[in-house]
Amino acid sequence: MKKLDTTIVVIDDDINFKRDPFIVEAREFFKDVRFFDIPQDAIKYISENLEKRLIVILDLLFPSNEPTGNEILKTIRESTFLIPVIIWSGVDEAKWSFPDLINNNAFAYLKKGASSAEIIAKLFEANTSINNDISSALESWIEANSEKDREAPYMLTVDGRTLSLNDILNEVRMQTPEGIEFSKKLTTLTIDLLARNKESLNG
Amino acid sequence: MVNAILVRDNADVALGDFFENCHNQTKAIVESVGDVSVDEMESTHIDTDIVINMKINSLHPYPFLFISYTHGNETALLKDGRMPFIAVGQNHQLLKNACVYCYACKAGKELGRAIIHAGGKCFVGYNDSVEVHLRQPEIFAECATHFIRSFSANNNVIQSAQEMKAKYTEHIDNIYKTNALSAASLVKNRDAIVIHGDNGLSLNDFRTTPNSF
Repeated sequence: MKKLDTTIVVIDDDINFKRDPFIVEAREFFKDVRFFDIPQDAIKYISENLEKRLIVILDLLFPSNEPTGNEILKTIRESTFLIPVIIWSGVDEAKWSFPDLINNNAFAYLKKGASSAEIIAKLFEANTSINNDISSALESWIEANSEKDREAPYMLTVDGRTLSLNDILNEVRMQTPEGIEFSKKLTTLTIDLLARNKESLNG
Repeated sequence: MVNAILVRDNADVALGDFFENCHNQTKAIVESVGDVSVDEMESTHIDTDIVINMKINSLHPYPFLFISYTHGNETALLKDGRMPFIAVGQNHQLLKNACVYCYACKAGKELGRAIIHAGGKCFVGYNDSVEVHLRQPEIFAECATHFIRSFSANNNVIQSAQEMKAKYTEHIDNIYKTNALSAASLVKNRDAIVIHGDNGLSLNDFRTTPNSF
């Protein structure tokens, strides 16, 4: 079976989970599965690989000298909202703060006791969401341009700002109102092409 | 003889070159008709509404074309994106008797309606933001000027607007595989086109006798 071209990033301070059955199983389906027990290393890897298709599995509770899962998610969201982050934790739900996880667009919440099948199913769900997300498609299209083209002035906004493709990429990743508008326009284009039979859903 | 006022904000920092390009194309198109008298107005003429008021007043009450490439908002055409030189409640009624085409953000909303309400013949513009992409500005300019190209060929307003939409669609189909974002903006611009007033008018309806002035 051909493996999916998506990298799974697992962030958990308990290195015993490095050999967890779900990680072994995930490697059968996904090209690259990486385990990070030090959050800062994971954040660095993610920030340097934003152009890749990434899904993050994130623990919440870390040693006191490390950021919490909430803080790690917040840091990821300072770079992009397009990476699905699955919370995977055994914290006492009654004592943990969840609103900011929702605000920072956590993709799903799984308990540490979840089976491999449940975790793999959730990974596939996240992978499908990337496939179906027009913002991710737009991100991929911009990434496909050369760095020189991405830096060059690309368009003018109504308020007189000049945007390069990299500026647009940032707006899209951060899902700002302007970034959402770009995605919306691309959806409108797609509908227009489908309606006029210039393209079909079967490609 | 057809009288035409052509306005562009050629000194605009961001879009001045684009507006100038649209203006030059428009001027060439209308002058090729043969009996169009063109009054050109650039950024220095629209610092305030004084010059443009005098210019339009000199044509009053004869039919004329008013073609503008500037920034805009729902109620006004703007110089530098902030200073109104044609605005609802200020001087919009001067465009009574005009066929107005504005490539400006959102002016098709309230300004276009107000001009028609004040006696304007027809208004073609955009009821949403319009965008320009710098990688292929010539495509955006060709689309922006196509209404005038078609209208100058004596098609009526609705036919000319439809031909302009078709030009947008032609370019959308040409570029969407290589430049999806620009194609998406062309779709946005095309779908924002709006007509107010009498859409059956053609250039002939704006001809005055040679001795009218």
